Amino acid sequence: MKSAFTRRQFIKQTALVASVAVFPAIVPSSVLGETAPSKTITLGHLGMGERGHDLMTGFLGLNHCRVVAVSDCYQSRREEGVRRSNAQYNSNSCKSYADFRELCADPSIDAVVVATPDHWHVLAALEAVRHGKHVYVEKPLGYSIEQDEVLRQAVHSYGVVFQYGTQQRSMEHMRWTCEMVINGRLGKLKAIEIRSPGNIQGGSTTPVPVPEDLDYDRFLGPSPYEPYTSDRCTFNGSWHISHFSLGFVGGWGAHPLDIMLWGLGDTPDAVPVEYYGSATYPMQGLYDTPLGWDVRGKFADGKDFRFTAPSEDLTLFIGEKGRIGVKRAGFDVIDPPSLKDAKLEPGEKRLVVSMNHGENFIDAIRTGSPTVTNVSSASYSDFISHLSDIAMRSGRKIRWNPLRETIIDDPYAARMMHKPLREPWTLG
Amino acid sequence: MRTFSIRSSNPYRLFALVFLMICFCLGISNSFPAYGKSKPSGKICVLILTGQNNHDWKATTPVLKRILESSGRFVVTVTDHPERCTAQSLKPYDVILSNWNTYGGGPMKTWPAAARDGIINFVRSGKGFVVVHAGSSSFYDWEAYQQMVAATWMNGVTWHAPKHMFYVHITDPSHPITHGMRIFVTDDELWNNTMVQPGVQSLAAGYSDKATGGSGNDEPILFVRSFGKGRTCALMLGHDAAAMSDIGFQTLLRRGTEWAATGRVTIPVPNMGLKPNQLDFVLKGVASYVTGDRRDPLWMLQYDVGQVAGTSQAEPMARKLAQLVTDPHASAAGRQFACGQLALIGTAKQAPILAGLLNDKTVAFQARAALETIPGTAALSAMRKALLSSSVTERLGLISALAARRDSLSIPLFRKMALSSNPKLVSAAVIAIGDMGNPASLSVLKRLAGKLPKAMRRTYLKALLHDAIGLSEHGDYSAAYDTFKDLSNRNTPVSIRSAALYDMIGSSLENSTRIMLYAWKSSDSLLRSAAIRHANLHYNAKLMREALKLFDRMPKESKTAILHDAATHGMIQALPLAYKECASPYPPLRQASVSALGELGDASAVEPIIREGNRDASLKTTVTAALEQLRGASVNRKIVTLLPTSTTLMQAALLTVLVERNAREETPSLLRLSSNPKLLMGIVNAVGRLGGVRDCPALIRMLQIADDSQREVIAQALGRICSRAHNLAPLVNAFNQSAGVEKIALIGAIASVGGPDALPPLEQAALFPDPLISIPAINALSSLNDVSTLGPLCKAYEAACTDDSHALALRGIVQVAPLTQESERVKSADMIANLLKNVSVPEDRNTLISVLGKLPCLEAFRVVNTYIRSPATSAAAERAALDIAQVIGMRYPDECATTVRLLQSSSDNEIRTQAASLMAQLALGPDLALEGVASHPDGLYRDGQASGAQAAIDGDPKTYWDETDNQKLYVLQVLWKKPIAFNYMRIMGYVQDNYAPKDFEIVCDGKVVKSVTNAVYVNNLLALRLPDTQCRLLQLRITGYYGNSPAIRELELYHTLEGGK
Repeated sequence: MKSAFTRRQFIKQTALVASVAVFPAIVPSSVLGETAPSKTITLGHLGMGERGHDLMTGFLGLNHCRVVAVSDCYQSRREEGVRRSNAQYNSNSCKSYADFRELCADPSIDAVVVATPDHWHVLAALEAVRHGKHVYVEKPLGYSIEQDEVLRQAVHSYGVVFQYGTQQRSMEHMRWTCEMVINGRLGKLKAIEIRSPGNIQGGSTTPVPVPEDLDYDRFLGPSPYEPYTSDRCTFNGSWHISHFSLGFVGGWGAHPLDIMLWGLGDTPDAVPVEYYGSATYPMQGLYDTPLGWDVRGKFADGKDFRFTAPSEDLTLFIGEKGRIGVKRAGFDVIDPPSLKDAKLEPGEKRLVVSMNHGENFIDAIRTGSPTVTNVSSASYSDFISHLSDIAMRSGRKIRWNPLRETIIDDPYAARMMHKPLREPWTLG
Repeated sequence: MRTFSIRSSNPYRLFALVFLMICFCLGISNSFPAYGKSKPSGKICVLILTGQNNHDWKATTPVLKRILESSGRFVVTVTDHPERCTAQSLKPYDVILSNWNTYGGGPMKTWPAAARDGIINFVRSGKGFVVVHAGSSSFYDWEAYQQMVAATWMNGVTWHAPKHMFYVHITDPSHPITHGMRIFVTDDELWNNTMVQPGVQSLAAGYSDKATGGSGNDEPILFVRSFGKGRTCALMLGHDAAAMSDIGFQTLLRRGTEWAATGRVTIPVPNMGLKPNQLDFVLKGVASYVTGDRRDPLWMLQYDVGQVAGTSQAEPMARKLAQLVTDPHASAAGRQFACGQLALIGTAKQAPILAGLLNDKTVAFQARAALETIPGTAALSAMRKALLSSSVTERLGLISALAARRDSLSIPLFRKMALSSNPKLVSAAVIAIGDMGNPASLSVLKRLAGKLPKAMRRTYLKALLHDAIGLSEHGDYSAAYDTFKDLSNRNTPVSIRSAALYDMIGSSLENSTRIMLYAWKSSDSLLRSAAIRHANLHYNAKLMREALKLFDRMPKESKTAILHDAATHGMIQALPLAYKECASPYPPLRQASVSALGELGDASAVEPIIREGNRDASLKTTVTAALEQLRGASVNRKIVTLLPTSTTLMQAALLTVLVERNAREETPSLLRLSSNPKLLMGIVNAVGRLGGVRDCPALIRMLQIADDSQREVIAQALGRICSRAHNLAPLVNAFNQSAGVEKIALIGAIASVGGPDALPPLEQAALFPDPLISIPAINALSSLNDVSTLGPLCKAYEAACTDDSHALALRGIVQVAPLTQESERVKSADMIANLLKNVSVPEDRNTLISVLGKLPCLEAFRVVNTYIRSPATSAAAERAALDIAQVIGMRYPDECATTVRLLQSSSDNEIRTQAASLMAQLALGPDLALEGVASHPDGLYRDGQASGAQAAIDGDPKTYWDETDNQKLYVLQVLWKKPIAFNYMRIMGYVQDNYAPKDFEIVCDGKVVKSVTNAVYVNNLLALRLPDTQCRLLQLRITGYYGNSPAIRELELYHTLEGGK
């Protein structure tokens, strides 16, 4: 039976350009008129939790941008954000919005940083994009495959700059690795292994009164109503509760998966076409996302794919002539060892150079240079997380058609590409 | 078969007799001797041992045989007489399965040696062993057997509740046996506290619910281990034939047996769908589930739905789920979860039931979500009907659900709501109509235009945009195009207009080239931007060629984008344009041109690129990237030529480029430029990174005329070259021929290369009388951080003539000596001891004595001992002796004890304390905890970086046991094969007073030996004296802790005669 849903995407089947951009793509991207390189970009932050706080620290320290507004479901976090911004610029002009939609409609804001819990990422980003705001969206991307596709189409249509929160692409050793792979130094690739940390168990399930400064209904947003507990709306809650997140199969896995995509050329074929595996889940406590997993699959060209947890993060490219295993902290393996000193020859493919992920985003807005992780790449790595998740929950072998971007031969699994939202929230 | 008399004298008869006896043996074994390989037919040969078992082996053995053979992978033979097995008789088999035991007093209590050795060696040689349930409950004194079987029932330790239905979940998702499985239900006997051998891995656990008489823990039931070259799989399920009928048992048995035999699993995981009574058990659990309960029923249901979807079991499952969802006595959480699963497997049949739940507060959202997800018209019509009679909140959900389904029949209903007075409904309805993407919705939207409140304008326009997008998705490009065109008028809000322009281009099909060319040339910046980004996202070679032809008429912004895209795609036609535009007054275009030159050009592009870099400093990054890209033999040469006439900023960039390009062949020409003072240091640096040994003479000549700051740089470059070439000769030669300040610079260079070749020149220099030379050399020796410099440093100390040189040599010795590997310590100690004899300065003597303290070996110990008595050296010697004793004391307790005992009356308080504690340890004897096997029967998972229960008794304080925070009870358990006797316990927490046990009971073989409250740690150690205790099974039952959980780095147990601290 056909899937009940047709996805909202309008992508011509002619070749999609991969982001192996050699040089700055001069794409004037501000819809408010071409941005003069000297303009200061005004930023609004959606989500001032752990990650949002750290992102703001980064942006506060950058030239050519200024944090002018914050929004969060916790009043105390809004106030903290305002205080920090005002302290940095020695002013008292930072605005505070209880309702993120008002922030997105504020014409004085050029760009929005989305660091909400996962289940809000796409909804918040869509609101910003459809108001013509450039967006920096934290990983993972969507709460469902359909959400990924809707956001991608909106970013392309509305023509805003998109940066994905996969800051590993702004790390030199990651770029070096992918340039080696792309330029064939490992020979024909045979397999890729991805490892990431797993989720944790625990969290209090005892209902307690909602703190006064928290807009709980807004925090829940599109997720179903559940009684508030002391661990539900912390960073742990937002990472490890299945109503808010897939769990680290997306939330942490996005990092090594994104590097895999980068090394494979950011094409639709970099998404494996088969998934099968197992996972272990917490039996008790508030958190219910997988503690460990082992998903194995294949790419369309026959390469093997394996994604496991828990482990230190790793992207391991295995080729006929060698292997490179790269992780956030450095290298796990470089084989043969002589590869360690390899450099690019003239004429070889080079990847976009970014030394600071936030700065790369601001530069893209100001000068039209490309962001190092665009929305297509973001959607591809997110598909992999979703497909892996469906496989491990159901024990089924999941097959993916990268051209039509849908699960094939499995109506049950296909139903999971769409996840209903609690009213009044919609993707429309 | 006729028998032949052996006494027959006919040789042929004898031969025939032997031949027939061979056939007879082969006949019994049913096959050729296999020597470890599967039969030619590819099947695995299994030998089941049975005939005696305190379980019903007569009923279970045929069941086991049938389960294995029905998979098509195995051929099974059964023997009721395992005692008759020999190495020879076992040869044909790949794996032995034990359904046999001595437990409960069967007549066969031992096996003859031939059987014992045969079976043990069978597995050790590379074959497999499988245990089913009590199939390992034998031979408790036979150590090798216990290890081989991996896990067994242990009297007094293992126990079980009556047979009941319980959940089994996989705990290792990677092992071949369990990969692809998740959870199942079985009706069986679940053992608690199975005795498990050290080094055995468990792959699955059954939940031993207290409600059914269990322990409350997850009890492991599937074990694997390697044994010699072979493998054992122990499956503790399978109490009787009925229990063996469950698909979970059967799957683990088949895959476990295949794994034991071959090390791999090819048998796929079958459909694990539950039997009806099992499903009812699970649904009962779901129906009573409240948040905070164990999730086994939920996970089982989720997995089962995944297993039965698309099969004939899906329909009955959906019906049962619908029953649960409508059951008012079922828990809210259970009903909600079940409804979520129904969404994935439900059909039209459940639509009316779900519709009826749309105003049931508990499951309203889940019911709507299910209708939203279940395909087909029944769900749609149920939602449509409900739309008319629901509350506003429910309507909002239903509207978005119907919109998500693109239900055209809902359009009239949406239209009605778009005209209502409730702004939320209006907005939702307008958005929903926009989601439809068909001509009907488009016409409805257009007719609504004048009837909506002003505040809705943006929502309306957005809906129009999305509707048009939907139209083009359905192939109705011309209607879409017209709508986009309407939206692109200047009254539309900017963001929507921008999208409309982009999508208009996209839906213009055969006109797209014309429109793109028009848009690119337009003075409307939004239209231009739309074209630019469309081209960037949808590369079209033909279009690009057209654009390049009309390039000169394009505005600067479009030129920039087109040039970039063309260059990215290697379009050589763009090259002349790039040459032209690299002098453009518009900076982004200049930048794109320079980049394009790098992408497309050759050596002729070098000059214009560098020219622009000299003109505009902000282009530095682009210029660098472009030059690094250029292909062509003479590129490097050209860059070198243009180096002297470039700006200082560019010169630095160009040198970087040359290094990136590995322009090794240019080092001679670079060196010739070094007469230019501005360039000198940059060139030296570059040559250092590029050059080879042949460039050294030139650099050395430079060294001779360099000033102080330059000398450092030149020496560094020399060092780099020699490092890369693994050849110190040029440096050493230069060193030998030089004098004065050059020599000093070369010392630094030699040290930076390091390696054994560096030692002779440095050693020589360190002995120079002139401190200007010897001091840097001594420093260089120390900086090598290699113990081979110890000897030279000692010599340097002896040869030193100034206080500074003495001090530096001594400092080097202090730094380097502790690096000595264990096997070389005696050698180093001797060196230091010899030096000591010739040292007169008291402070230096004490320093050297301390150094000996860092070389823990018996020789060093003896030497420092001789200095204890002399007052000038006693403090240092006592300290050193104690440091050494702390490391080697346990190995040489007698020799060290004398001194350590003496140190207990030292005048230094700290020495006294540490000596006493060391003394106690020397008297303690071995740590008995190291022999045990640890576990954590508390149902908790390890936390963070912790390494599991065994880490608490692995002798390595770096690893530790720690579990989830803030729990009420933690249990660490240690089990010994034979009882141990102890009277002294020591516990090391994570850190002092944070994450350590505070309140706990020490329980030995079930009896509480000591209760501890508010434990007091000193230096993160808790020492407890206990009454003399014999113990086989020790438990620490921890209810209070410092920090958020009671971590334990080490748990130690001693039996001390002297009485500890």
